[in-house]
Amino acid sequence: MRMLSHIFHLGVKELLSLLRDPVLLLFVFYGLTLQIIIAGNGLSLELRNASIGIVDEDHSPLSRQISGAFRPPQFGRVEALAYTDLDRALDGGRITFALVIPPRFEANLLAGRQPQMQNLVDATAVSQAFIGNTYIRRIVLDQVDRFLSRRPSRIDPRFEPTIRVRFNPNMQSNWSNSVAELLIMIAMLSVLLPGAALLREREHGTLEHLLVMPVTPAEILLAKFWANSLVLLVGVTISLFAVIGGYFEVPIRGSVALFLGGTLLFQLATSGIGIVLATVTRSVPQMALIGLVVVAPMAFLSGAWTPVEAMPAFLRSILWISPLAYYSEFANAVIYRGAGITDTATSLLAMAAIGAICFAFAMVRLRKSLTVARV
Amino acid sequence: MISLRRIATVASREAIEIARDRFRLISAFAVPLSLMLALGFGFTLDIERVSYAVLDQDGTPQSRDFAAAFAHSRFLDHAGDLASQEAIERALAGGVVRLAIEIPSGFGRALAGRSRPEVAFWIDGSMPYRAETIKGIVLAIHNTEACRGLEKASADACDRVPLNIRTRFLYNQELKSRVAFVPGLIAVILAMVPAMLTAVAVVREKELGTITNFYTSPLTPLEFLVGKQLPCAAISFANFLMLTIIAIVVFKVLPKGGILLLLSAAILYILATTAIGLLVSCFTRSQMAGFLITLIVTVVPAFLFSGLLIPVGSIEASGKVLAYGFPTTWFLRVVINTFAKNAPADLLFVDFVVLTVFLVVLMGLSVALLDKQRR
Repeated sequence: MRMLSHIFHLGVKELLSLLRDPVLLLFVFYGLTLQIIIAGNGLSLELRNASIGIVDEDHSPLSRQISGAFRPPQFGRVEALAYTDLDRALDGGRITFALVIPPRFEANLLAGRQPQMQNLVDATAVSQAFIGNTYIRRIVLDQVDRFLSRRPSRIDPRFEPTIRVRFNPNMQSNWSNSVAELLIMIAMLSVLLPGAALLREREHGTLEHLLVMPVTPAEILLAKFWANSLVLLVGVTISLFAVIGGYFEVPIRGSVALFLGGTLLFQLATSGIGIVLATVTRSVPQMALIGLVVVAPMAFLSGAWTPVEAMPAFLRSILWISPLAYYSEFANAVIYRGAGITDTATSLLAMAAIGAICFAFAMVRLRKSLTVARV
Repeated sequence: MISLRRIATVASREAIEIARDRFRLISAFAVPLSLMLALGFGFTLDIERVSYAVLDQDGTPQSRDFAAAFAHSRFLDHAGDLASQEAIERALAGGVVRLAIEIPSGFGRALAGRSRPEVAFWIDGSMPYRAETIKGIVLAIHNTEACRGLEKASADACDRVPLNIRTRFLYNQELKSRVAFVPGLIAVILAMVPAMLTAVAVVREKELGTITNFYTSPLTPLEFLVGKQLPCAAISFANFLMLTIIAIVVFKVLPKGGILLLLSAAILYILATTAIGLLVSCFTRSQMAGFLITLIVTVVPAFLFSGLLIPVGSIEASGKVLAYGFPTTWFLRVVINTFAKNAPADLLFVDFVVLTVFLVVLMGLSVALLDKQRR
């Protein structure tokens, strides 16, 4: 009972110091709302708004028909280019794709002389190069088909496969992007907030004050955990309703309480990591650097932006211990598929296990660094 | 009047502080190094070895030939054969395979009879980018195979393809992520680490009270800030050289030309990104706020909006603000040019202008926000 009241009061102290830093809270809020809106809206790894230039040296009805076929959302503005401008447009990155329709293209096609068309791709645009090329080929072939089918003498020997996409049939990515971005923000903040809070005490010498009081390291740790988690949970709840559900209209199928509960388990693991970081570093500048090494790979190798199977095996095995891997599995299951507590038991247990280990380790580290401080 | 002597004094004081903080000095190099290695290996979109399974309901030599063609692709990895429709569903849902090929009975007969056999491809769409890429791979193999199958049945069918589309992947013939991502990571890491180095430079003095030294000295705000910035910028430039060497030696991405352009742009860029940290440091009150805000404002724009992952031209309007309003986007163009394109230098004139503007504006804002007396 004493312990609970200690944890409560220490936590309240923590909350007060957070509330006295309005600039920080403002940016936490920005990170959890506006930045997610921008990322969810602005980014997609599907082909969207790709820039294409067309060099039309044929000027025939067919070449105009092909140029007209590149439309939103896959393609943005179609730029008409002269052959001589081609290099500069690609070099400068103004266009990613360039289609060259040679002179007498239509005439050669009708005469059955198999004319050749060139498609130049700026392959430094890695995410678009391959997919865009596939789209462009299909669009051109479709238009040629359509053009030729008006003349019944031609038969097209290609046959069409049936392609069925499971689980996300429209392959919409702004939904998954907004959720992925939210998870990344939660991960970054929940590692660093409690860690920085502990370091601040050490740098100011207020950790000494705590030491002379009848509180244990576990109480200090749990107080930091609940206070910082509470602030984040409030932010996450607002974000979940206002941004994910409200702005992006992602149907949240599962239970919000379950999602928040899972988030709390995740924060147990990440706060543990943050506290460990704070005990191995001596000052905020040190922590700022070390924090980057933990947070950036965790966030950007989580599989949300690049496919996990593309990573080398040794990295995949390291990521296996990243709590974010389980958290995103859990969050996606609850938000998109409406999974319940039994469906997500594995991820929840994994997070709890990682959380317990990180927290126990943090406790050992803190106790050790406190005894060192006492000497 | 700006006094170079006073700047040098502040700079050497700052340099001594960093040099004595062995941990911070080491991590200033170890952090970018480990980020480069982790992300350089892990952040990739190269979709190879997609696991797939086949349900062959035909069992004729033709269907086996057709299935074998997929086994030969370097992009695909044959995980096994399936027995039924339900098995397809299970394998996809369990994530065992990302692609299932269903060859209907009567496939061989249909080919011989020159009618259209309906091969079905089932793709896991849970990650849209991966699904689109698999679709592209499937279509390419399917179309050549179907044509070859027809050719066996009826001569010269392939010759009836009405046109050829020749694709050239420029700057990156093999379409490897690392050609663009590894140099790109130099730009991204040099947005995060230098900003982190300076993020707490001023606010730390505010929080710990040593800022009084500045209040009572003849230093002007600009001298103070530049003096704080220079040692961090020097470390960051050494980082830049280190990362460039790693890109060349470890990841075997060789520069194509324009090294001098890259070096001079790097100096401008590093001064700009260290200025981001300074600016944050000037308007925050606590170190914790300083470094968390720096993290929020640098990591996401540098990673997701700089054009590394998605060409800036394809980012939607609100995201473009974050893209063009952050220096990484501009420096990235110079880096990609050096490592992949080697375009005429005048195409990059604008990047130098913009980076200079960033530097001037960021420093100007910092000076304006740093008071000579506590308010």
